[in-house]
Amino acid sequence: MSADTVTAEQLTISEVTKVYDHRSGTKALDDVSLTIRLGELVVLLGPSGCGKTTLLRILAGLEDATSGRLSLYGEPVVDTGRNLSVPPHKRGLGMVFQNYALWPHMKVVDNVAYPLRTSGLGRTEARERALEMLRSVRCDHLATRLPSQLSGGQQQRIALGRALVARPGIVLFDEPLSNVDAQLRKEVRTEIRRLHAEIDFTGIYVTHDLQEGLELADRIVVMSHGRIEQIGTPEEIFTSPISAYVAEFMGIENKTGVRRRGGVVATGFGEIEATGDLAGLPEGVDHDFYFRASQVRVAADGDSTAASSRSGGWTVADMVYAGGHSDIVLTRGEARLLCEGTFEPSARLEVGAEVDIEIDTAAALLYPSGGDER
Amino acid sequence: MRLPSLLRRQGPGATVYTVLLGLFVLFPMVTLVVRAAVGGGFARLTTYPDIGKVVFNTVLLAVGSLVVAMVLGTLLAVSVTASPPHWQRLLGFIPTLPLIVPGVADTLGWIFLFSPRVGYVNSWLRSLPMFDHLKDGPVDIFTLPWIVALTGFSFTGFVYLYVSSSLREVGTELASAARVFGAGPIRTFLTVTLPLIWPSMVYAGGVVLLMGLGQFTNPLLLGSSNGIDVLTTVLFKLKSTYPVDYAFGAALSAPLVIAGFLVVWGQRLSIGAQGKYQVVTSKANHRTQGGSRMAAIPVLVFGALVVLPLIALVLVALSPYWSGQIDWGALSLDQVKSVFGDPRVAAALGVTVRAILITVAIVVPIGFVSAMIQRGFIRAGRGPRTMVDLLTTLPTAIMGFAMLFTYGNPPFAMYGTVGLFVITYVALMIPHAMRPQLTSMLSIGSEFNEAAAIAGASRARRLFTIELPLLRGGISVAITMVVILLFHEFSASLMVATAGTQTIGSLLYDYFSSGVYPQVAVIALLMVVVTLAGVALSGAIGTNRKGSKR
Ligand SMILES: Nc1ncnc2c1ncn2[C@@H]1O[C@H](COP(=O)(O)OP(=O)(O)O)[C@@H](O)[C@H]1O
Ligand SMILES: [Mg+2]
Repeated sequence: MSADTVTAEQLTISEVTKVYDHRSGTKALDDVSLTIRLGELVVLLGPSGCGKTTLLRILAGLEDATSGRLSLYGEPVVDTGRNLSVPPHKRGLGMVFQNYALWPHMKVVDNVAYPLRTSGLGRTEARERALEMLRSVRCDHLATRLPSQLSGGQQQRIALGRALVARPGIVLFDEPLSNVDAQLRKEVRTEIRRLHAEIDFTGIYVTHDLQEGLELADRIVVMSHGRIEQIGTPEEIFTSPISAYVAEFMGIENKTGVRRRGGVVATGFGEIEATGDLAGLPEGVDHDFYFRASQVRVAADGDSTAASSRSGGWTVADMVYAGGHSDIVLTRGEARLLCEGTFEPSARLEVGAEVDIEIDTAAALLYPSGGDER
Repeated sequence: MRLPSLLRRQGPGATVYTVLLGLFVLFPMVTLVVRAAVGGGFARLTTYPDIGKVVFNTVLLAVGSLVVAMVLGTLLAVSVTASPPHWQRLLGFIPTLPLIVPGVADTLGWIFLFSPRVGYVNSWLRSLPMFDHLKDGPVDIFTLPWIVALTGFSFTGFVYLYVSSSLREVGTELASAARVFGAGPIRTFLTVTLPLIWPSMVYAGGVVLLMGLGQFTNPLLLGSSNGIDVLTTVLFKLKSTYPVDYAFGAALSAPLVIAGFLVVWGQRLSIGAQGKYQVVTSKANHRTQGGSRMAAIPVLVFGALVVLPLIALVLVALSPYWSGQIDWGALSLDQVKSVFGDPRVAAALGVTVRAILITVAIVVPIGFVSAMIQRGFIRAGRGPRTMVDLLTTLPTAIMGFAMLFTYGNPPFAMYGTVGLFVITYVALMIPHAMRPQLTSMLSIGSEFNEAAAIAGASRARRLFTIELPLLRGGISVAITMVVILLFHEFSASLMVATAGTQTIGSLLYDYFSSGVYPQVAVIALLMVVVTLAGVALSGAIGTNRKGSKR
């Protein structure tokens, strides 16, 4: 590809569909289109089974698309209409596998040198550059070991080095941290961000872990049932989930069915005043209302604002200390809510206490009911 | 789970392979059946004087040895499980010994023990007051009950392997649960354990039945002197007369070939194509104490029965002649020296080694491709899989006869050449060359290959830098298996051997027929030694691999 390629698009996925089992016809990917720009770190996020791995493997050429087109660096590599499918070893990618996939019969340095050797570099030079890469992931002291003699975290760093050593323009990651224990996860995550800044590659990172996605991504692509649900920056996705599905996935704690009639809104826990965005609900149409624990607070008298609604008759069922705040579980008949409380000695609550709450409605997440049931 | 697109290859290789396999497997079988049908072979069956007796003997041998093997194999498996846990490793190995000891050597050892006149045990028994009036006996090993018993005994290890791995699979937890709810040990076995291991017993039973129907070594060595014939021995006699009545031979073989087809088909229906090759993963046996020392007794007795004939072999090999009395002073290595100085032995060793080397060079790659197909790495349709399955069911002696008939005659006219041995051996060894390689493929994830593809390696480069090195262990075991199995191969070798071109196995039979027993014993011992060395070697490879890889 030439340096003056007009577009900075590194990777274009167009209308890709994948059917594994032609008898049942279930679509693991359903008409997916996505463009990824030079230097971005894009996270494919979604629950297990939504098709993330499948998409990544089609990009890599490890799996054939049932239909659709794909181009890398502006060059078409897959076009099912023209029967075009460039094999993986000619796509010029790097990839980090979930279970490392370091070749057990090769020393660490030879594992890392391998991508250089396949591109025709001599043994000595390849080893030199592999060592350089190993230094960069701080594993040069492990060069002569076999993969079986390494810890999981070390193996993951080396897998990272192997993926990056040949300076591929695009690097794919398939849940690389799911086999690493919690403490190391944070560390390797930081490492990936640092390398991304230093080495300057376009990254596509698959995970089902929201926190991981939010921390790593320049852009997040939320997937559901083989389709793209929402694309946006971590902040956009987190604050404005486009659908009930994404809202659920963002871990928004409270949900209730709502329907406005005049100035009041019927909820799963009785009627409340139609304040804030609730006032804009179309009359008589069922919606789902999502709100975070941080959007609920235990109210003192006369505390109401224009963008919050009061609900009374709640009982404190449980309180869990959670660091800077405490999680308060409130019940009212069948209904349950999670609320964030502070430990102000003056406002000390007891389990069993009766309280009123204020629900913030200024930026309410409202989705038509039933529309997203899949 | 479907395999990744990358790994499912399709290419000219699969076609070449299918043709090769067809040539080695299907073609001889088809010519055999066709010859039986059009050559009037089936009609000849009805006129063969003792055909009824032969069929009766064959079926009796198969069913009888099946019963013996199933009872003994299950008993041993249960005994091992019930014995003290820290003994189980060693005890578990004992029942597999008959699979390791070459069948001919074992049978010869039994003959040296129980031949009516000069068998060591018979001589000793006659020295007891109870039997001192007898001239020979009291045991006559050259009778049908003994043939059945010894054949069943030799199949026991096979049943044991299936039943014990299935027992391990099931684990002890379910049985313990039954015990907790008040069932006694026998009730527990009958109502919980047995139903759970039943499928693997059925599978083992099917295979043992086939092996019994095609059994050749025992009826030949033990039945000939009393005219006890089965299908395969009649076939062998036919082969030794001139001109060979191939149509009749083909008709004799056809039922066994068809039985093989039926068993493959039945297994397909019952457990699916993949199941039987699946590596059995053993659940940890949490029991660290308990178990009964008494339970080990059957296993130890069985072990003694395996070793006893080998001792007889050693005694005969060291004696100037075989007389039934052990003359300790006359024992020497003279016979061993004379065997190694014997030009016929040297020639036979030469043929054997050459045939083995060429066979290994051909069959190990075929086994590799077969394993790739079984694993699903190569798309090749159903044909090749079915042919490999068929190979595992065809009796060795029949295979030898089919090869002699197909490739010994014009247009191939390989009669009397090493090439005929090679073709026969290749066909026999395909399953054995495949299995270790498949096991090792199953234990290696596909992501190593994928990672190499991403790293820019072409298919050929992946084969040489990733796949073959990773499969090194499996390939070495395959080579060792083929070498040891062929070194003591007896049945098929006898079918394709000629007076001028002998292998070590066929020469052994020549010497046996002419009654030079010490030489026979020496050759049989040589087979045992080579086999044990090979087994130790492949064991070492296995341990070594476990040590250096994860
Ligand atoms: N090799 C395969 N064969 C058949 N179905 C598959 C295969 N791989 C994935 N699938 C199916 O495709 C869907 C998407 O799977 P996958 O891409 O692995 O999801 P994710 O990586 O998001 O967990 C799932 O329903 C899964 O069962
Ligand atoms: Mg996945």
